Amino acid sequence: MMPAWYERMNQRERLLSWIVAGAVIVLVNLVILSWLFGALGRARIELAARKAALAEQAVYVKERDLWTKRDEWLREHQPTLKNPAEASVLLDQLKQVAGKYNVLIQNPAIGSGETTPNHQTVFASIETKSPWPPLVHFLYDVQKPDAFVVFESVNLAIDSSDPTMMRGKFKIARWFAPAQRAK
Amino acid sequence: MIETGAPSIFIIPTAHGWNFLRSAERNGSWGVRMLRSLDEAVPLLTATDDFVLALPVAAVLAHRFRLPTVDPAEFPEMIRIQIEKALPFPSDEVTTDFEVIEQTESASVISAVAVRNEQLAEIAAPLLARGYIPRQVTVYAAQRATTYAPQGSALLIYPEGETLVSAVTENGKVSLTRTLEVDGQRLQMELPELALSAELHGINASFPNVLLDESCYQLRDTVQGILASPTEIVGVELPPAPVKLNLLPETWRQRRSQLARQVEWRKRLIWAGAVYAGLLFLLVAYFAYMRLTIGYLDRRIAQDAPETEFVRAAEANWKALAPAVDSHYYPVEILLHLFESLPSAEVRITAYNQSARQISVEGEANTAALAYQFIDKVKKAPELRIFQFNMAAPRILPNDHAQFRLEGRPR
Repeated sequence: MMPAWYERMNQRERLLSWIVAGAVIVLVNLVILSWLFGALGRARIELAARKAALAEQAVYVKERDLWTKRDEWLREHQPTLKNPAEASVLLDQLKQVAGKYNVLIQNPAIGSGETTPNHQTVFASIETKSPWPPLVHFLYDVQKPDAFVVFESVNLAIDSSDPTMMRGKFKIARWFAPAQRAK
Repeated sequence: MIETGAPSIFIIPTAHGWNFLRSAERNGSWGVRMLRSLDEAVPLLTATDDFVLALPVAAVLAHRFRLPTVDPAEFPEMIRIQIEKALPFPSDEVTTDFEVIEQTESASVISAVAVRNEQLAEIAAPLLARGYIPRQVTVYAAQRATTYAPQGSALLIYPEGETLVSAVTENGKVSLTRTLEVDGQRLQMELPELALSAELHGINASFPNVLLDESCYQLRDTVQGILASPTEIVGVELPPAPVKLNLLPETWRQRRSQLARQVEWRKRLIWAGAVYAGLLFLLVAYFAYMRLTIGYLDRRIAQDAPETEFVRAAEANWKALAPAVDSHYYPVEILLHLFESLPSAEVRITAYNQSARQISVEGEANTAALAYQFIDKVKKAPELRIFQFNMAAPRILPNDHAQFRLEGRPR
């Protein structure tokens, strides 16, 4: 049976009350559904991220041996910075290689470069002038994986006065083991 | 509210007020509850109950007509005319129904019963006020007659309220009703008068069946002495036999249908609500499942984290040192692959710049198409895949040669 307050209402009031009640119910349910679908969407994204992270972890675990070997190799082969003269040593090595292939070195300079959690740097800046084949040999000989030599900057261009000659400007660095590991 | 099968509740008039008969779990047994008024029936009913309201004899007018037809289609109109003549009320103020008592080849004997709508509404007011509308409104005397004397004529004597009522029935249909005095001496006068009235109405007044209610047992000898017929004692019918007579007013019938529709709609709404709630529950359960899965994955990730932390650190260190240890970053390697990618001698590299993490190549081609061929080959070279190369549109020189600049960044 209908409650007394409802019975007291006329037809128009009843219709209006039903419209208001329906609108309130629809709005409340829209809020609930909106929150629920929003939460479901966020949860789906989080779930996908967690699954991706877990898959990534699985790959890491699978490749653990490889990275262990690489880490060991780095520890064994990355040189340690013993004194400030390392930059000079690097320049000497460059001069030696250049001399071997008759590559002319000009404007040499040395210095200490940036220090990062992965390496400490000393560098040598040089300019070269040579034909193309000796320069290729020079580049090949200077850089080897266990030498930890990096060409931080390379500028190569054909000599404007002599098209058979190449002019090069190099900033060549050696990346030493970081200080923390060296200790 | 929907009429399916036999009703499970009967409300019948008695000496003390009313009897409320309810089928006990429909297993054949019936419960009887005595009510002083119909107000007491309200709490016993629900909106879905299907019940029959039996009226006392005092509330109805029963007439016996002989109609000169056997065509049932003509009965309603003929009976309406007869009722209008017999009743002191307009026909739209009463509800009538009839039953065929007997038929010959050319005529029919009809039992017509009428009730004033106003009086009916007064009787059933407590039920109507709560929206409980009976499935059938009938006369208790007709129910008793159908139960105990479905064939032949009979005289029923039983109490209704504070009075004693008598009903003459034929083939289970009410033909004549009278209110009697409980006093034995008055019965000596009234019963013969009733028999005479019955004879005048064409009813066999020998009354082979005289049915006396069990509550009037003390009148048995008196009645037997007056009518010279064997008197049978009868009790409350459990349940009363079904009768066709229905005095349910049309407005009640419509209201009942309306209430039935409301109940149906309420059911549908409840179903829709239940389905919606079920869907909401499934969504919430799915959400809870996903949160639990996320929690489980978090625990697994946290569990494996120490093992992978070292690998991550080693990988990051290796990548940071790649320009020193990975030959793909060596200028001589890059230059080699760049020269291998030259589509022809008509494309020339004029300048090469490299920092630890970026390279740029300047050159000149005889046509712009050759420059584009060069960038295509560079992009496809597997050894140069660690870089992502881009080339702006070549600049066309006065000699129609194309000057280009290629830039590569590590992926």
